[in-house]
Amino acid sequence: MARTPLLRAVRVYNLNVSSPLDVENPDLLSVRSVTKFYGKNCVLDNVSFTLKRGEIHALLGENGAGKTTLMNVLRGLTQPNSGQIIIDGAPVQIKTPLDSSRSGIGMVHQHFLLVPAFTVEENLILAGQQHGFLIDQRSIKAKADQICTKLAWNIPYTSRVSDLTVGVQQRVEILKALLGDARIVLFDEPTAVLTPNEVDDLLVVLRALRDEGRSLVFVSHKLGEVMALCDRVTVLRRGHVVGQVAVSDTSPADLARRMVGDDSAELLDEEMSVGTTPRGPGISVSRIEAPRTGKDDVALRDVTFDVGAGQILGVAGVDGNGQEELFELLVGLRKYSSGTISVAGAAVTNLRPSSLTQLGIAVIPPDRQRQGLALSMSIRDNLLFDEIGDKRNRRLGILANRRLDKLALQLRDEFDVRTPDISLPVSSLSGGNQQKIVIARALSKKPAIVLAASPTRGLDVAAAAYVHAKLRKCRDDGAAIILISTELDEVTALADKIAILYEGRIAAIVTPKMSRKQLGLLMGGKSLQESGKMVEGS
Amino acid sequence: MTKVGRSSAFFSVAAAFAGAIGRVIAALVLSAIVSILLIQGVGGNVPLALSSLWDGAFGSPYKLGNTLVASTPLLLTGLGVAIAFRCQMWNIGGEGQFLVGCLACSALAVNCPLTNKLGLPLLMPIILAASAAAGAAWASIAAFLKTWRAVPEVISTIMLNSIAVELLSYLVNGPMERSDHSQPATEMLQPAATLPYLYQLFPKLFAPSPLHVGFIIALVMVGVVYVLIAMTPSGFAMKLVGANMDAARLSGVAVNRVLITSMLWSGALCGLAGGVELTGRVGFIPEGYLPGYGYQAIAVALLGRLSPIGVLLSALFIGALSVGCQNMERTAGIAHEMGLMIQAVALLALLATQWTGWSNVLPELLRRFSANNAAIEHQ
Repeated sequence: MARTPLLRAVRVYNLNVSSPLDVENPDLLSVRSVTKFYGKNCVLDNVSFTLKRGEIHALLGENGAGKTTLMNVLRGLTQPNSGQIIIDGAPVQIKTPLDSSRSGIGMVHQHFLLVPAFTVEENLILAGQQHGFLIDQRSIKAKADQICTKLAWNIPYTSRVSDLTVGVQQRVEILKALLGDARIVLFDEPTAVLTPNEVDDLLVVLRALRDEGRSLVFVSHKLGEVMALCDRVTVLRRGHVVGQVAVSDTSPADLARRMVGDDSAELLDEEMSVGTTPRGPGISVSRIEAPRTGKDDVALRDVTFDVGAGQILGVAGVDGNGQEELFELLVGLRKYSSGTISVAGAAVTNLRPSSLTQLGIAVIPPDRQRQGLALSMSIRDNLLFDEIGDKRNRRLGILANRRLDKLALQLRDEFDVRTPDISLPVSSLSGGNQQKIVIARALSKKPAIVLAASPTRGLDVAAAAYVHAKLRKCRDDGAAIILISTELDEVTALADKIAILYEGRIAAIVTPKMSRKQLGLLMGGKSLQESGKMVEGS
Repeated sequence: MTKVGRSSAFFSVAAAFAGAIGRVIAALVLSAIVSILLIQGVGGNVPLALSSLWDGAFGSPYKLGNTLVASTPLLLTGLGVAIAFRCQMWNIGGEGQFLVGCLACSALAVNCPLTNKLGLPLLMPIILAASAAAGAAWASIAAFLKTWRAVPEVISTIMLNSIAVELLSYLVNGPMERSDHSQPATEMLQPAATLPYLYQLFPKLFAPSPLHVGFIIALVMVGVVYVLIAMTPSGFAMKLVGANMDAARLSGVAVNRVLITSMLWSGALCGLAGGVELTGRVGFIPEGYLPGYGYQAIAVALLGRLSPIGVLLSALFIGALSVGCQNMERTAGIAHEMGLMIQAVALLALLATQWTGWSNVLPELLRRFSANNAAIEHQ
């Protein structure tokens, strides 16, 4: 394995392990019978877990299992309805983040709590505890320097946070947590935003922090990372603890079963079906140039790809490299200055969202709550967005509501949206069921082309497998599918070929058989040649 | 599980209903208390003031007729504003659309050579349609600026209000000035261009009162708007655009067209309100005519939660309150300004108690009671 200089430096550094291992009471933190309601929803039901000194403890569970809520309880961002938190054998009250910091708990949030317009230094000052009237900039900086030397980090203190890569931003976030002398550091889905190689770097850092004597809680829904990194794991399902085991005593399959709670569930996606030959023209995009429209977006440069009928093209890349812009381009929301888009062999001029249906293009938007659903409307109405324009569904200009009701029930059953009553607001559904509504609308019309952007974002394993199965079925039925996703696993599992998106360009179009290492390097901006050499060299 | 879902759904519906009623009662009590304090504070006779308030609005068929007449323009403009607000088009220009509707109605009724030849049943639809068309045209300026050039409709409709006021001033002092030159105003409408009183048409059903056919037109419009928003594709599209514009766009809805449509409906209803008010009650447009219905419509629409039935109730409430306050002024000697303050207090109280937090409190209590049962059934 090739090591970046950073990795080597951390390995070489001799960490002062001064872990005061209390033999009689090895539990640093213990959470006892914590219960938390959000309105009617019980998100944590009698949850208990213990964190030992100097361990990395995984909190594993699907989305909505209560992991983040538990973290928020420990961080003082929310109050449990009942239960107790004990640190060093003494019960503590954690009502605010400040209480939490005083108890020695620090947190690295999934969505970084950094001020983008501030410099790194200013963000650190913001995080540091203020005692006097004046800001003691020097001591904060000195402390940060100390931590950085230990971890062999090179942090650009005077740069604005918005100019930093996500990986470096995360280091700033970690630094913030460590500045407060946290003995317990909570990491909420820290790998979600990183490239595979950045993930490797992070895991090394986390091990280093543990070896220093700190205790870490690592929240994740990725089994591989948990198995590779953690000492023990607590599995949560729907607010219940369904197991606490040492990682050495378990297997990924066992953990997956516990997470989903269903032995029979089809958890593993079918193996990839590589190299399906196109059955005809689908959609092709040729030499598209789409300039930036604002400060925060990415220009699409010379984007060319071709997806045949019966094929899935996966567009992989680190978030923010033009995924959103490519999506907007393909649904006709973004203007392009040159290039052509052709559908079924014919060039499309004037691509607009309202002409998508006519072109046989179905869309699964990346953010279902923002672009896919009207949360204040009922499940029925949300299933019917696309039916309203259909002339068969009206009589003398009035909606044929009975026919529409029947249609909505049909869609509910066909796409397995789990609800007793379709007149309930769509916001009452879980994320997975909400996504099924979006999928139902997109796929029920037998589209020739499907544009699926992050179709499993925030879904649990079972719901994601369901979405994947539907997309495969659609591909097998002859649709041309463009899958834009930042989850590399998803892309390699589904795609017949992968286009790597980097800074608005298609860096390479490769086979999904390519090694993850090389895919990761491509996503990080290395060329095909460079990355090939680096992988060979290792 | 299904059973639990249904019963909790029932609970929340029941709780929401009880909550709504409770909120209205709370608001009325609250505003009554403040009003009593106000009246007491200026040394008024509280029992007389309150009884005259009630009596003025509902004391006799004649007074009830007055209340309904006062509610009519509020109802029409309120419906108009509600339609636009439902798709997040913040039409503040009801006033301008109302005035333009008045002007179009007057111009046509006074100058059309056919006025005296066509009978009332033929003429009336034409001039009311003209007032609605004028209101829609006025609103369309803001709608096109919004969809074509992204001009915020809040600003453009307010500006168009000012333009309408000056346009009215110019016309009343110039081209449309009445021939006898006593005061700057438009010509009085001919009887053939005046909406008849209901008691004249149906003497057996209605006691004599100023209640005119315009109120029936407004009620019909409640039905039309209800059908439009609840039963037509266009209404569905408006609801969708209002709920989530991005989702609407991505599911193929021509968002701009929907926004323009809603604005046209909105302007048409406000313009129609102008036509109805002119032909039903006022008869001519005086210099400086600015009744403020377009602005009150915003309160009416929001108080009615943008639903046609809600708008009907809130228009009746505000109409009754303003008529009652006028009576209070006459009978109990409470100053006109005090009447306006009482109206404002009632409105504020109603809007303040619409805080939805109340409706969450009841289901929460019910949940606590039924939580144990639900948990047992769940397992």
